[in-house]
Amino acid sequence: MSDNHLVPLGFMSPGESGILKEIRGLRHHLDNGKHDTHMRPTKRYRRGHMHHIDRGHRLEHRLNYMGLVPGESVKIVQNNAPGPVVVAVKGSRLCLGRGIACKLMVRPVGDDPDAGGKSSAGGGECDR
Amino acid sequence: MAILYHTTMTARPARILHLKEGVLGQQNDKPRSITVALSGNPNAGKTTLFNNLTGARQHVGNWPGVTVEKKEGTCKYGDYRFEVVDLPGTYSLTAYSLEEVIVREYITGEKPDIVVDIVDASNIERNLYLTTQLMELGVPVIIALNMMDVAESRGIDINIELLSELLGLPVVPIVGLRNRGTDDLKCVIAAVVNGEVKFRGVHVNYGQEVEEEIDKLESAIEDERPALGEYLGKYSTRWLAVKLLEEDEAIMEVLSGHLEADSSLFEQQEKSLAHLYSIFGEDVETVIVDYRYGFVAGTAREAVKREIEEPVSTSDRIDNILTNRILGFPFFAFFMWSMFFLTFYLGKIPMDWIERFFGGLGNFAATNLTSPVWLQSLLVDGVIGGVGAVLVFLPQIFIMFLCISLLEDTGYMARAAFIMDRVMHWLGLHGKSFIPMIMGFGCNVPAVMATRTLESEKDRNITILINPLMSCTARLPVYALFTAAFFTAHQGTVTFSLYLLGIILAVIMAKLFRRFLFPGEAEPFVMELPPYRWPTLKGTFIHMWERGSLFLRKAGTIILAGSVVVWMLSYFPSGVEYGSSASLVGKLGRLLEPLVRPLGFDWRAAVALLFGIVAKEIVVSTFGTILGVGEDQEAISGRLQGVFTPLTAYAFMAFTLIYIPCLATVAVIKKETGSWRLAAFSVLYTLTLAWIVAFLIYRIGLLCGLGG
Repeated sequence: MSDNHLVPLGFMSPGESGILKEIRGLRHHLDNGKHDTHMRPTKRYRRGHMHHIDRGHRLEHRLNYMGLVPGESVKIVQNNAPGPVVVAVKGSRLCLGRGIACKLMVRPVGDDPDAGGKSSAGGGECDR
Repeated sequence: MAILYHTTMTARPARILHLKEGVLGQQNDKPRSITVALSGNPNAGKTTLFNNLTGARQHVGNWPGVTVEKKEGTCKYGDYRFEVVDLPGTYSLTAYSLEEVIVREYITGEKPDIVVDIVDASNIERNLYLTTQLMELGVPVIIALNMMDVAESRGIDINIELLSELLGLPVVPIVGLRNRGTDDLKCVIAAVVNGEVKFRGVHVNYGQEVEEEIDKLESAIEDERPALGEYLGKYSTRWLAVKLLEEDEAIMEVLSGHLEADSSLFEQQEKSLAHLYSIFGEDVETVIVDYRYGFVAGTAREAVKREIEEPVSTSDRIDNILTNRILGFPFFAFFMWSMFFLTFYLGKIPMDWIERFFGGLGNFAATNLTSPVWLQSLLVDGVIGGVGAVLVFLPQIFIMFLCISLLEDTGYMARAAFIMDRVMHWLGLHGKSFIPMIMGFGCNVPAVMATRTLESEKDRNITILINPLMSCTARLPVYALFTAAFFTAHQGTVTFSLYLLGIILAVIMAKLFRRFLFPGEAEPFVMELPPYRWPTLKGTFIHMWERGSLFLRKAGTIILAGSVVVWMLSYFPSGVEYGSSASLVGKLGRLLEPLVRPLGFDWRAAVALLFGIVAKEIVVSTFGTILGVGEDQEAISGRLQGVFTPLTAYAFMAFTLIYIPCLATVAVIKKETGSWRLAAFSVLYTLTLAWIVAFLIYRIGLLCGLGG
C-alpha cells in the first residue's frame, strides 16, 4: 500500500480510524462550471446582498468549524448504508450524509496496515 | 493576571477566595449594573448556565427584527446586579448564518461589559475556535470551562492556569449540570469589571504575509475614517481588516453602503486578496481559518493532556442501542408512541378536574348573576363557555411540551433526525428537517423557527410549508370534542388517523414542492450528535413552561377576545334567539355557507372555521358559544349531533387539521422567510388542500353509504 493511499470516509467501517487528508470536490461542485477553478473564487452582489456563488465552499467552512479540518484524526462510529455516517472527531460525534462522507478523503491508520483496502467491503456505497 | 487554579473542583482555590474578599469587601453606595453576554457552541451548556445564574428571573423575547429567541435574566452578586443575555449558540462568527450575525452584532453594537464564553471542556479544541473569534471583537471575554467532570472522567487533563496564560483570559471551571462554580464565575465577572483582573491582549497571529496585508488594510480603513465615522467606532480596525480579507458578506454589504464603489479601501482589499491568493494558492478565508485552528491546536497541545486511549463513553454505548440499524427505528416508534400515550391518557386526569371546575363556575355564575341578562349570557356563554372549552386542554398541551422538551434536552432529538434521515431523503429533504416536524406536534410556531438550523433556503421553505400539516396541540381540542360526540367507541383510533392523515399529506406535499417549486438537491446533511445528558428538572420545566405558557397567554387574550366577539355576534341584534340563524353570526354563516355546502357543512361550521383562522382552539370555543351550552362537553356533544353526522364530522376535523395555519404561524412564516408571497401561498395551498380532502372524504363516504 502506498503511503498516500486515501479512502473516502464513507467507505470505512465502524471502529476504523484515520487522518482526514482533504475535502474533495466541494468548492466548485455547485457553481455550474461557470468559474475557472484556477482563479480566485469570487463573490458578487445580488440584489443588494452578497451572494456566495460557491455553496460548496460555504459547506466546507461549516465542516471546518465543526472540527473536520485536514490533519484531524477521525474515527468511524457508525456506517450503515444507506444511512448517514457517524464519525468521532475532536471528542464530538458528527452525523454526515453519505454524499458528503464520500468526499472526505482519509488516510486510514490502525494496527491493520490493510485497513483501508478491506474497509470498502464493510462500509457502504456512495450512492448519493 | 494568572487566574486560577487546578482542575480538581474539590479544593476551593485560595485565589478565588482572595478575589471574593476584594470584590465583596468594597462598599458601594448603589448596586452596579453589569451586562453579561453568554456565548458558546451549541450543546456547550449555555442554557444550563443561564438557568443557574438567573433562576426564574428570566424573560424570553426575540432579537429585534428576527425571530431568533432572545433570553434575558438578572442575578445579584453582592452589590452587583448582572443583566444576563443568552446569545444564540454558534460554532463560529462568520456571516453564513443569522445566529452568528446576531451574536457579533450584539457584542459589537451593544458592547456588553463582559462576554462569558462557555467552553465544553470535553471538546475543548472545537470550542476554542469560537473563542479566538470572540477575542478579536475587542470586548473582555471570560471562559467558563464547563463539564469539567466529563472531561476528567474521559481522562482529559486541562492545565487551567496555563490555558488562561496562553489565551490571555480568565478561565473559570464550572459544572453546569450540578450548579458548581457558578459563584466563582460571578466573582470573576465582578472582579474583571472593577478592574481587579487585567487582560493581556492576545490575538491570533495570521503569519507574516497576512499580517502585512492586515496592516495595510488597517491604514486604508483609517484613511476612510471620515466616511465611516460612527460605523468604525463600533468595530476594531483589526477586526474589520480581517473581515475584509474574509470577504465577509454582512460587513461588505454595510461597508459598500458607506463608501463609494471605487473607494481606495476596496481597491486595497482587492490588491491584498489577489496578492495573498498568489502566495497561498487558496482563498484567503481558508488561510485565516487555518491559522485560527493552528492557534487553537497549539494552545490545546500545551494546556491539555489526554490519555491516549479514549474509553468508550456511556453516550456511545447508548447510541449503539438507540441508533442501531435494526433497533433504532422500533425505539424511535416507541418514544413517539409514549409521547402521545402520556399526552392523551395522563392528560385526561387533570382535564376532568378542570372541566368540573368550569362546570361549577358556569353554574355558579348562572344562578348568582341573574341580572342583567346580557351580562349573565356574556359570562356564561361567552367567556366561561368559550375560554373554558379551550382551557380544559391545558394539561394535554403541557404534557406534550414536556415530552418534546425531554426529547430535546436529553439529546435524543438529534438521534431522531439521524434515524429518519433515510426517510426524509426520499422526500428530497434530510434528517434535520425532521426536528421541526416533531416540534410541530407541539406548536407550529416554534417549529417554523426551528427550521433555522437548515442551511439551504429551498430545504427551509419546503419544511416550513409542510410544517402546518403536523397536527399541533391547538387542534387537539377540536378532535377531542368531535370524537367524543361521534366516535365514542373509537376516539383514539380516529384521532390517530387524523395525525396520520397530516403526516401523509405532508409527505405528498413535500414531494410535490420539491418537484415543482423548489427543484434541486437537498443540502448535504451535517449535524452534531450531542452526548446524551440527564436533563435537569429545572431546565426541562423552564423549557416546557416557556412554550406552554404561550398557550395560556393565548387563552387569556386572543381566545377570550374571539369568544366575546362570537358571543356578541350571536347575541345581537337584541331580541333574536341566541346563536340562531337570525342573529348576526347566523347571517354571516349563511353568507359563507355556499362555500362549505359541498363538504356537507352548515353555517355554524362555516362560522367556526372562519374564527378558527385566528387560532384553531377558537373552533371549539365558537361551538361552545354558539350552541350556548357553556363548557359542558357532554352538552356540546349532544347538540353537535344535530349539526353534523359522523361523516361530516370527520370531514370537518380533516378540514380543521389542514386549512390555514393559525394567524401566529402565518406571521412567523412571513417573518422567517421574509416573504409575503410564501406566507400567502401557505394560506392558499392549505385552504385548497383542506377543501379537496374534506370534499373527497364526504363524497366518497356518501358513495359508500356512510351518509347516515
